Amino acid sequence: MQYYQQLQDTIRTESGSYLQEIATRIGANIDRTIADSYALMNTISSNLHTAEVRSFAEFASIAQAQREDWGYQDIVLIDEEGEAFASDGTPVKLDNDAYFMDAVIERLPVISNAQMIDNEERIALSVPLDGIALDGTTMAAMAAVYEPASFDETLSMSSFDGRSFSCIIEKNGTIVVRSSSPAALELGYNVLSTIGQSSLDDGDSLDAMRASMAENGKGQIGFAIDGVRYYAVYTAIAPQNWYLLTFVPASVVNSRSDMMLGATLLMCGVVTAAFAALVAFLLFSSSRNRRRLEAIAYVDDVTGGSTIKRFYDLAQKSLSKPDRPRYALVYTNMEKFKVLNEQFGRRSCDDLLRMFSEIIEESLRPGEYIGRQSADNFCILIEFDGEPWLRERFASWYRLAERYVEKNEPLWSLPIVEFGIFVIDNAELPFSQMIDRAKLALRESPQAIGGKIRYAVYNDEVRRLLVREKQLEDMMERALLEGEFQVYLQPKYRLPERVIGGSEALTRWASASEGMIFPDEFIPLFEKNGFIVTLDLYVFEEVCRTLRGWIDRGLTPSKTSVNCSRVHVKSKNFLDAYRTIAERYRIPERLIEIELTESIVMEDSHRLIEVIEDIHEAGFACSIDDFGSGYSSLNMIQSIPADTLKLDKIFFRNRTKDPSRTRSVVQSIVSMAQALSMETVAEGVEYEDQVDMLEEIGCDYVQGYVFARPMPIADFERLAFGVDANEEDEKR
Amino acid sequence: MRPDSPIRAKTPLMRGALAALLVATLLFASVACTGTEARTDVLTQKTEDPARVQVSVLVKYAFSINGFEQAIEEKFPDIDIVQVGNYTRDMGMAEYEARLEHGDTTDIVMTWPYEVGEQYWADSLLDLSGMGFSSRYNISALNEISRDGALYYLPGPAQVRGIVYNKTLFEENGWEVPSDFDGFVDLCQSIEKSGMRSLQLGLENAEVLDTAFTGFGYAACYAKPQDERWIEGYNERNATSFGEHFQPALDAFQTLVDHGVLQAGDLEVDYAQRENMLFTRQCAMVEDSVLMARMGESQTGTTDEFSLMPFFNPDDGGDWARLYPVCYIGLGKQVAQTGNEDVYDAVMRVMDYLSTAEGQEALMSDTGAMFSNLIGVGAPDVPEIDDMRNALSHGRYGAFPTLENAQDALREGLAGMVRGDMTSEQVVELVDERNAQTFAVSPEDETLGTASGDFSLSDTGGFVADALRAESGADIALFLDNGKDGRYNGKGISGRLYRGDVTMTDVLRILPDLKHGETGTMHVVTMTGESLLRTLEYAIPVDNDQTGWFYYASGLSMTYDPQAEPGSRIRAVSRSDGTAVDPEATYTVAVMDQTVPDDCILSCEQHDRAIVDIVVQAVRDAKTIAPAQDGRFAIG
Repeated sequence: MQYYQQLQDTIRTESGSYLQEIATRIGANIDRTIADSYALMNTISSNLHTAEVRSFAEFASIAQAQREDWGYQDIVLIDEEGEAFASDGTPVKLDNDAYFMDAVIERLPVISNAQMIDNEERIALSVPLDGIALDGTTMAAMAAVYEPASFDETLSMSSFDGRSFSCIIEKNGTIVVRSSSPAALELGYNVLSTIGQSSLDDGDSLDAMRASMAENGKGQIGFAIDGVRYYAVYTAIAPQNWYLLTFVPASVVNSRSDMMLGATLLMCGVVTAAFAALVAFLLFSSSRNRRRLEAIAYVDDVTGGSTIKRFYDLAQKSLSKPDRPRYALVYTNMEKFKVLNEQFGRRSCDDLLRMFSEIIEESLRPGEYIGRQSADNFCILIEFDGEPWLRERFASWYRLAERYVEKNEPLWSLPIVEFGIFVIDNAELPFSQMIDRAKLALRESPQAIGGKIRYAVYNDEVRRLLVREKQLEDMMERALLEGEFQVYLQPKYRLPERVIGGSEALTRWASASEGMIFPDEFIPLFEKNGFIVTLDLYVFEEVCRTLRGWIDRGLTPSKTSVNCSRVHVKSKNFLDAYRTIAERYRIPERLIEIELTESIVMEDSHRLIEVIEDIHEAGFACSIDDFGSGYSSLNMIQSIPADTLKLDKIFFRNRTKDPSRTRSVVQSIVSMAQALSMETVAEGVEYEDQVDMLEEIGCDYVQGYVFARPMPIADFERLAFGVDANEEDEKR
Repeated sequence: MRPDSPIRAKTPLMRGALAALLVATLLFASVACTGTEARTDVLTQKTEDPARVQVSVLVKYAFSINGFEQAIEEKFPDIDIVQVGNYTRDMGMAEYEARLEHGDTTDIVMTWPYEVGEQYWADSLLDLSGMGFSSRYNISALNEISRDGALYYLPGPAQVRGIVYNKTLFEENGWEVPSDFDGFVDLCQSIEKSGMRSLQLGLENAEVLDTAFTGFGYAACYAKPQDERWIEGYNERNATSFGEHFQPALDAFQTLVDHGVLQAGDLEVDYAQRENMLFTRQCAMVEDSVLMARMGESQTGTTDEFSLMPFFNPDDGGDWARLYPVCYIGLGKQVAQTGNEDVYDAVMRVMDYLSTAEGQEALMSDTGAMFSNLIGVGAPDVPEIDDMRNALSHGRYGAFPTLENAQDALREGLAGMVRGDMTSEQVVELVDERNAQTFAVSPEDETLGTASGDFSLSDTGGFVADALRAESGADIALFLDNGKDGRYNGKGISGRLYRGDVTMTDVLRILPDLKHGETGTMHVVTMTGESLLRTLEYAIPVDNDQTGWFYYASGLSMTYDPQAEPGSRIRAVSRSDGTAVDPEATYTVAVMDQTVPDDCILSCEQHDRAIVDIVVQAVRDAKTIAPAQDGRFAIG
């Protein structure tokens, strides 16, 4: 029995961490959605400067142009008296949120969940404006206005078969964004009060939850409302101390646990004859029920194919076979299907779904199945022979669909189709969780096939992250001592000459035990545990040593930039260490550039200015890295005395996005930087046409795969100086 | 800050409904309302059905929820809504605050949308924040009401108000609804030229002066978030001068005066008269709601059509609608106590219902076009507000705030501007001066004596009557009850005294708000025994046709049955010494003026002492007062 108890505990813990994982992802998505919106607003704000927008008419066309891409309702302008105007200049009244108005007046970015605009409650996300006047009225802020439901799409990503839902609350429990999921409970105005008035699971306490939330903790609580048990998982999210609460009916979570417990009981031989009889009875009645249900629940009324229930049954059979191939569960989603529905009508869209389902079904191998889960979402059980093979299959389905449409329904336009892939290594996982994970995969960065297909494979990264972090932490000190951290240099090419005009020093971890570990994996961890300070200085010293070496050998090095984590900046005299090292190697003025990330700008702009002044005083140049990725705006940059602005790779990552939009954004940043006598570096540039564009608009440097990847120092020397360091040594 | 509160006279429409109610069998129900001790008071005069759960609803001041009551009772036949009024001075606010302080709330309270008695909310009202129905309201509206994450009220709907104009008249004369302030002034002048008053606000009711000041100065002085802060600062005496912020509103007001839109004669016209003027084509416009726009025919038989236009503000201020928040809706904490499960279940159903579009509709049935705070309900859609739609759909609407310390001064000043004997500079001076005045202790907070126990309503009525009888030396004293079930006479008791200090405020809040021209002084009348009995049976008619009120008495002992028709309600009556009332004999009776039927009075000696003073004196003299509890008023 002790084993049983242990198992139960394990399952509870595991379910808990799974729920937490889902909630964390949703939270991260919300954070990202909000960060993206801020970035958009800041970009528009800088556009207003560069394009010298002076009238509502001009502003309205800008707001209109971006509306479809970003899904906001309108962009409202707020003047210095707090008076608000729709983008076309119509006065509107902002109502009821003193916190929001305080922030607007204090010129801070802010989100309000409860603005009444045109009589509808809206979420407004505001950034301060500086020096913008429209039709003669000076504007203090600009706010993108969203329908709460547009946030809800982010909230409802984890469906657990459509039975879970999420909401956002203040720390005191009052509601910020409600869920509009059909599965959502009416949680009242104060969700914590509602939970407090329900019957809590034994051992769970609302006070403990409040205490944990007060310290930005996360966790879960079990409770029952109207006889239905739920788990509520809480996670802090970035904006304004809000909290995400994700509710999952206990029955969904526990179905897996129950299954495992049942198996244990059998194994332990505790099962009595009576239990066996009960099982027999259940099996009997379920087989009887199955026949009855088959008729009503197995044929999908839209596609004529399988319903999700039938899919589960069939897929289960495939997964239960011994010697089965490796399978994946694929979840498909058609982008903006609702819009299509409106555009072409429900019937045409149903036809499209049927066609899609039939095409896939015809191409399936034995043991593979498809079922429609909901609306435009299908689940496919498919053999997994690696990603390339799946890509091929997705592409062929899409080609077939295109051919069909071309021939039969020339008026249709096929939507973008997304495929989320969960590779099934544990067939015991309930389908609902497989589906959730396949969906989750899509929320990460999906890959594209020809602009019309996106796909992504779920990996267990988040779940493994903690273990992994521990592992890396155990390794890092020794790795440094043993020289596993290597300095790579990525050249920056000067435009228009397209010759190397500088480089950025980056770190690689060539682990003896694991091979190459990439910075994405260890940098965030080191920032968390503070080891980044040691590592940055190590890299700095390596760079100085290298520069000294070049100078001593009569070479003329160009400016090299090194990253300086925001963790350093927190300590007042952090530059002393840099200065000491630079002096030790007698590095000439301005050969070193210190890169600060944009996030510091946001955290404390006063401190940042101090830091930059110190950097200059120490004889280094200073650049702002990742510009455009986050919250800062060009307005802020005006007051920051940096030498270089590095445009975030986000601008160049996705070529399929409207190039004219990218161009206008980048152009506005570059021209502002020029006006402030700052140099600009475009990072993450991958394509020649992007380089052309950057050249045209006057960007100073390009750093990206289009020219060169980060490379070991020796390779860089070869590239930059046309000499082989070793040869050079030999000659000597 | 509070929205100002124009008083609407009862209308024939309402009267009809009330008369219908009156015809219904009346009932004396022995219901312990709530509170610290059981007592016997009349809660309702309606028929009681033991199968139905009674849910008491405190209805603010003279507000009626007859339409809502009917809708609830149709929807939930097992629920009997019992309206409890508090038709006392100061819009019943002091009375409501006392109820909150003493935990003497009804099951449901529908109160003013103010912060009245905020310090008692947590003790006396149920926190609604964890109840599902609160999910259906706009979060912004709830944020406004909530305190530390708790929610003691749901926001009721808000009435849409504007300039009500005679549409038929406009069409006949080719007058058109303007599109800006200048156009509005021009329109008024054209109307005045035709020999008719243009806009008649009825400025005799001083609070109506606010309407013009705020309505036409809204964009410049009230609409922006900064404005709210400025007013808050001024109320806290942090801001410098009234004129610094409000000059644009004063200027707009002056413009209206200068162009004859507001006239000195308006100061002699009261709220009810201006309504009559509108319906009889003596003026073209008033300020009111859709309810008013629909009332013409029933009021005067006019076939003219009426509609609403917004307040056009000067310069680029745009058009604004006025929202008049009608009420907050809360629950008395006692409904959740053990033993009250039936009531709890019933009130939850009521709250759930009123948190639906249908329920909001039902709430609005008593007040015309309303702006609901329920998600997805929003602005009303009736043809009378077509001209307001532009303002409403762009959120250009708002409740009219007032100054905390100096609104009266502002009203005095505005009246001066209308009369032409004050300039806006003088108004600023007057308002600033008043705003700066502070009173260490309000005279109304003065403690007069102590109550040794909680008084019931009949104890309180008996105490007032005793005071009158003692003061006058009359044989008998009578004092009216203020009415039940959504029908109120405005002449009687509707608040009670509680254990502890009795202050001036307490005396003022148990006595009626005098809205029918009563002086509130004591008269000592003589009447025959027969007339006395007739008085007790029928009382006086109020608003033409409402009779059947009842009195609290001193010098008499009664067993009273309002279930019976007026005329056969008195089961037993005797003088307090046990002797019978002799129909032939003549008695002296102390009463408040205008509270007994004229045709019952043989002679009348008018004392000029205010009843307030008499009661104050009685408390002071007694130092400690106690409920008489001598059984003089029995229900039978």
